[in-house]
Amino acid sequence: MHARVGLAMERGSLLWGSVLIALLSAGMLVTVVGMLIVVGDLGCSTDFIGSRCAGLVEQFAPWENIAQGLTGLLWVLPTGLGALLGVGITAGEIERRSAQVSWTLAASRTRWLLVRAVPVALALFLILTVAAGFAEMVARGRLMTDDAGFHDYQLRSLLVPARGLLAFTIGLGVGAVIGRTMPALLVAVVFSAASTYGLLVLIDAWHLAAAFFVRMDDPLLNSGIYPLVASSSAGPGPDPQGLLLIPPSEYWVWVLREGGLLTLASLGAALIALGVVQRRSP
Amino acid sequence: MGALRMAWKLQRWEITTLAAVGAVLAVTLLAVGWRMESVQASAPDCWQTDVDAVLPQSAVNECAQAYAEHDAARTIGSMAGAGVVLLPFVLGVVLGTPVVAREIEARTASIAWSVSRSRGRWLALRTLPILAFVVLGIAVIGLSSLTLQRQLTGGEVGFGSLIPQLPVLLARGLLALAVGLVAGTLLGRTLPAVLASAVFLIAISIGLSIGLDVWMSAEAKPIAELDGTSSKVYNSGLRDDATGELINLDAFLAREDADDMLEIPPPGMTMVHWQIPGSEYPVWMAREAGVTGGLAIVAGVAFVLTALRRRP
Repeated sequence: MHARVGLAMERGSLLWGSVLIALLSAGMLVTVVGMLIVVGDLGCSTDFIGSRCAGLVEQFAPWENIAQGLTGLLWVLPTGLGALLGVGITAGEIERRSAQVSWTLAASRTRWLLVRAVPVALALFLILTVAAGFAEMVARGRLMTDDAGFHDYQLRSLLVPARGLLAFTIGLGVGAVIGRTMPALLVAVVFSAASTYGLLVLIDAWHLAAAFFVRMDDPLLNSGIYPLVASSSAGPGPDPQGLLLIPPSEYWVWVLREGGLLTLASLGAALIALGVVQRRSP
Repeated sequence: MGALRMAWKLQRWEITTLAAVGAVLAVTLLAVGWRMESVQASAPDCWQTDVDAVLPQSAVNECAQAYAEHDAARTIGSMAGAGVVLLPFVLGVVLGTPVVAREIEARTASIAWSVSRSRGRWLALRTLPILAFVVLGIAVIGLSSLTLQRQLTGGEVGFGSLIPQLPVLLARGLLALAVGLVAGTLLGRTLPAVLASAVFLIAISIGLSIGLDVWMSAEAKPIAELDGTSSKVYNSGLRDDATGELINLDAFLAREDADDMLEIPPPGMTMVHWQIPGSEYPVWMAREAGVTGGLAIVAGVAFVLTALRRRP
């Protein structure tokens, strides 16, 4: 019942957000099918070796470019959509001047925020997970493999909905502070993008600290797997050219670590939002 | 004057926030562009175009330092360049959607439209100042990006450019504004209208991109030389020097004897690339601006028609 109220209040934004994600997912599906049709069952790999595969490069490239462009949208969509849904709950209520009534009638403001925000957060998580699933298919299609390793992992794993939830909770807080939807949306997007970028810098430093040195001629680099390259680096020894990398076997460890960081940041932002809602005059 | 004051009062928060974001972006674009230019000017030998020239040993370290500084500035410049590409859409949608949607959402449209001399006049007084702000904002950002653009492309104007030319940016901003106005008028709710505008703008952008690509690939000509990053290459092939016959590279590589050839192109043949040369970039930019501007006019007419007919 309460969940239905929360969803009903934001149905317009959720509907158009779902349309956006559905169109993006459909686009990704079309590109995957396009790539599959081009390579067929020839057993080509990404270096397109052999005369039959080499002739397919120019047919494959346009599909790959579109796929890359569509997947790239997942850098901005979770942030934009999350901030918009978060701002709509708090700033929308204050701007419509209905906060005076709803906050007074609710058992507590904490309860009001939970009832309004949790169902929307779950819906956001669900639709962004769907988009991340299609991005996973795109990565496998582009690389022609069942294990894309760390390739574009921040655009196709649980990190996509986690970034959306961070923007959502920041949107809740900024919306409660500013109390007007459009200015709050702009500020929330800027804050969310800055927070996400800050976390990416932090996680990059962590990658660098945990990565190990592999020489350029190491068989690992030519084994058709996709490690996380933290940096190209000059290492020790007489032939120092190589890469600092993390093997694909540690994929889930790093996804969970990064997801954990994003979730912690989201919880922090949610607590701040709750504090603002508790103290703000409606 | 009164119309300007009214538009400012109703959208002062959005305009202030966007102006602040735009000012930061403009300063970043100018600072990064000048920084890259000054690094190049301080070590001109490191950027000489003569490929056969060998740097003296004493200059190697100096150049490594200069390249590192140039690359660091380029990274920030690329992010700022992406901001320039996004800004017209953000300006148009954020300022366009609330014009009618907020009046309907706040249930003030019935009063505002009743007390105004005519609805057309009300629409003009509310929309024209916003239109002027969008044009001014895009012009400032577009002009601020010129130095950076020159640096990012190595002074080569062409299809490798990250930032489109000013007329295309302006046309995109006007299209986003018109789509935002239509979505706000039809939905009558600001935030859903922002998302609906995003859906339509992404769909229109993808459609335009595919349409222009088809048009360009149809006009691409087989030329022997590759024109750096400034040309748009669609396909490669081989030309028989004796007969002038052209064969697609895919078709050539699929021939049974292709694997036995020691070199491609084989003797007597020349490699050609179907491409639009970089010199035609301004023509294609003008075409893109024209098509986008045409769509903006169509969306603008749709806005006027829907706003005149809509119930408050």
